[in-house]
Amino acid sequence: MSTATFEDIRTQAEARLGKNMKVKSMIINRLGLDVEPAVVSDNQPLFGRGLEMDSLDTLEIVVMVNNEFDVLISDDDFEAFGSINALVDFIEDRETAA
Amino acid sequence: MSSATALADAPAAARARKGLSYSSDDIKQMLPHRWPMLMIDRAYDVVPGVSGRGIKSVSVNEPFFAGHYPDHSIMPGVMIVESMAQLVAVVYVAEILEGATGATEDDASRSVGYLGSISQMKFSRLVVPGDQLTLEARLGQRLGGLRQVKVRASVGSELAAAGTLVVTTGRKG
Repeated sequence: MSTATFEDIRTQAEARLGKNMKVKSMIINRLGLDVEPAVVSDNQPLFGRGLEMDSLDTLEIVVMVNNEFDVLISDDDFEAFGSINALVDFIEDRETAA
Repeated sequence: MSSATALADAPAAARARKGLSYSSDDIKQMLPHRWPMLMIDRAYDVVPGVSGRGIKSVSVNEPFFAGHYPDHSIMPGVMIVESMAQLVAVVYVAEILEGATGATEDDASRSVGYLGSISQMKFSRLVVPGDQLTLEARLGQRLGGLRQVKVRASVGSELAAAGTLVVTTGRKG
């Protein structure tokens, strides 16, 4: 593996971590949660014992993602709400497909 | 097409462009609300399921003025929000009635849901007896049984309130 490839991977990983942090911050701001973005883990569930989101919060996130990333989440895309990683995976998948 | 036919078609074309209108009597067929909680007098420019405008004329005889306040009549902000929400219900029910489902007005009024949230609502002006509220609603994204709606209310050219509601489509629980 060349150094350039390693650098590419590291750049991609940093970009992904940055995007995850951006999405965390956006969710926390939008929902007015009393938690620091840094303490929310990337695989923490958004519902239940995780961020304790409910269905109204879910619609807030749908609107936020559409405004920020121009990505539409529909009724059939509930896998997007599994965790921060799942949400960012979904956004990146749709951005690539567009 | 003769010029007479063209003239006769003009109002229909204008109606299609401007949307549907509903009188107070029409609205009573569409919403389950009754006095003293029927808070919209007329709806117009209604594009079913998309957007609409409405009128709420505020009279000193509104029951809430008896207590809000006895010597200083101000329409409570939550009642302005209720007027907005009822316009949203008209826009929503219009979609059911205009759709190809064959739903009756009775079925449609039973499908009116509930308020889910009120967010970023700002009240910019006092609303007092004699004011006529012009209501506006534009339905946004939906997810499951929830729908986001942008709403505003103005008196003449002055903004009275604006914000975002989430409403449920249909009754549950």
